[in-house]
Amino acid sequence: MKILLLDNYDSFTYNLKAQLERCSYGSEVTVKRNRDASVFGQELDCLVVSPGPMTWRETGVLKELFVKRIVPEKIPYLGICLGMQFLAGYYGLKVDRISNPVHGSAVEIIHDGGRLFKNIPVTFTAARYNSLGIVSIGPGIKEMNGLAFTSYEKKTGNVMSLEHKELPFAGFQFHTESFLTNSGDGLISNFMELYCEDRS
Amino acid sequence: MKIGLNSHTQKISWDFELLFTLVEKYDGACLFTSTDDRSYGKNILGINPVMTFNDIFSLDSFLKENISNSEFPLVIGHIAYDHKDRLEEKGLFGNVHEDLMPEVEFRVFEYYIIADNSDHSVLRTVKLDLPFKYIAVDPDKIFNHSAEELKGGSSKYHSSSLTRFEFEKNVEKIRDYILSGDIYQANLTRKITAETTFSPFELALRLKDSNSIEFGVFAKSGENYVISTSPERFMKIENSILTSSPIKGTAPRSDDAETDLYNLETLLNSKKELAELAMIVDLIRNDMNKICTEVKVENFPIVMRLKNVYHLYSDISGRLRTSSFSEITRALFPGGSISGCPKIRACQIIEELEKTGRGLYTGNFGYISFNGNMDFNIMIRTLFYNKGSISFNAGGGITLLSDPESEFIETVHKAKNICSAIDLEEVWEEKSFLTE
Repeated sequence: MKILLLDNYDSFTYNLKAQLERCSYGSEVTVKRNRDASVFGQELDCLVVSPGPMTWRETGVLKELFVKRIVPEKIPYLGICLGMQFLAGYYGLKVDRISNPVHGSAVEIIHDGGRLFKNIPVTFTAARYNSLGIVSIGPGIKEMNGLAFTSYEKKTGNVMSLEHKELPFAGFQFHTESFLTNSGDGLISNFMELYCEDRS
Repeated sequence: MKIGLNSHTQKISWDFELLFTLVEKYDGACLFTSTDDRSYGKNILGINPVMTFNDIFSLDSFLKENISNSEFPLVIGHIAYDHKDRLEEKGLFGNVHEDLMPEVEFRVFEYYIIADNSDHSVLRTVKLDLPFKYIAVDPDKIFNHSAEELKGGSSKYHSSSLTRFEFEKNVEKIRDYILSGDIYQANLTRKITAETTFSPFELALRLKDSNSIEFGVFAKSGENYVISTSPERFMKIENSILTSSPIKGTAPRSDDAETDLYNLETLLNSKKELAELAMIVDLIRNDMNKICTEVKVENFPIVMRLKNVYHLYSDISGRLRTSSFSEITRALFPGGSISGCPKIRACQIIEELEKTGRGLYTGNFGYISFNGNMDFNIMIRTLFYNKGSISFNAGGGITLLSDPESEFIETVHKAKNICSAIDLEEVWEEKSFLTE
């Protein structure tokens, strides 16, 4: 399987690359920066979008790639942090400054027991690095605009992951690749098993 | 070009005055360790430069041609922080360069001398066999130099690249950048310039004694001198294992044992400091993952005890997939602990806010051996000297939890160690904090 890892000029991309290589046995992971137009012609079975600075609208070629290839070809998409925010923003959710920015600390997260969280403890700890996030989601709301909210920060109730209801798209607000995150490898393996199995 | 070497051990009693004298006499470079445990560590000295490399790519080919089993140094030198734009995608960084000293300077020396702190009566010496003509040092006279007389001196404050107002304003700006999602952390520094009548030799001795120094440097290249009291390792390579040891988090030491312990416990429980270290650990893991397999966080956090401060740091290791120095440098440079996270955006913001280049400050100084082992520091707490003009920077990591005033005061405290060693008083509004 060929995984394209789109790098938003981030400093955690290669941790994610190492994690993808660990958790998707035998896959080839190619890193390209988000200004690199060669991605349009790239052979790919899965797109993973890195964290990164600034906002989901400032992610170079990502939107065009998403519209031209990911959606029409139903290519599995996994977004981490900024990569998740792109998914949220693209489908019309509000991504804005949040009231409790955290950078470099692990927080407790509760998931809904869905298939992406198979074998992950109901409460697990994961590193957050974000000042922006999905806002204006009231308590008890489980989906919006075709995106399901599948985990929450225990302390604040903020949305911590998204899954598209019909297409193979998912995203995590927290950093699966951080050394502070306990279940990161398990989550990536679950994503690969769920969404990419038939492609490998 | 193939370089050979002859090594031998000599019964010569030595001290730092001798090593620094040789630096002065022979345009040398000395990497030294002078911690509280006086028998710990070793010092590496190169004298009489016979070749110089000013870019890492020609250095790379030279290293490849001369690879051998020998653990002795082949080159000693530095890469300036300002060199970052040459190692990244074009257009990401501005043209910010401080041209005082060469940005890249690696020198091959005729002689390398290794002095172990555990034995002050023996020196190991290596003479390189060089396949070209050069002006050789008289081997019988190398150690026949009396140390320069210490005449004392004074230093006169000139300026700070950022005023207190500007510095604090910039802390606010960084916090705004963090809130808008640009970065999580950035290192903000200011450069202090002064004039001094101390000789570089005397400055080096005074600075050596000012702290516990693991990664010290005293180097001379023409009129330029580097005197570093760095406690921080950028990278070490030993038998293809790369280790980086970023520092984040500082607390003052106290003569009162109870207060001292309290300060340490406060540091170890500080959410701000631990988060700052964690993000740099993730960043260094990232940089190492570009060129290594099996990247591991060995310990988090580790306490470093210096004379006047405690630090927190971490060791991250990995197995190298490449032996190319330029590839390794491009993956890691500049150090995460002195730039910020994400690194590229943080460096852009630093360019915008610091206004001037950093020159060598926060670059790396170290050596590379014939066998590919190497060790490089991060040039913090480092003084640069040229014909009586001196400069050094002081700064710190800014996060969302930073308070502008305390961050500024921290730079005053960090500068204080160098200031008192060289008899310099920062004049203007900072002064009240120095006398507190």
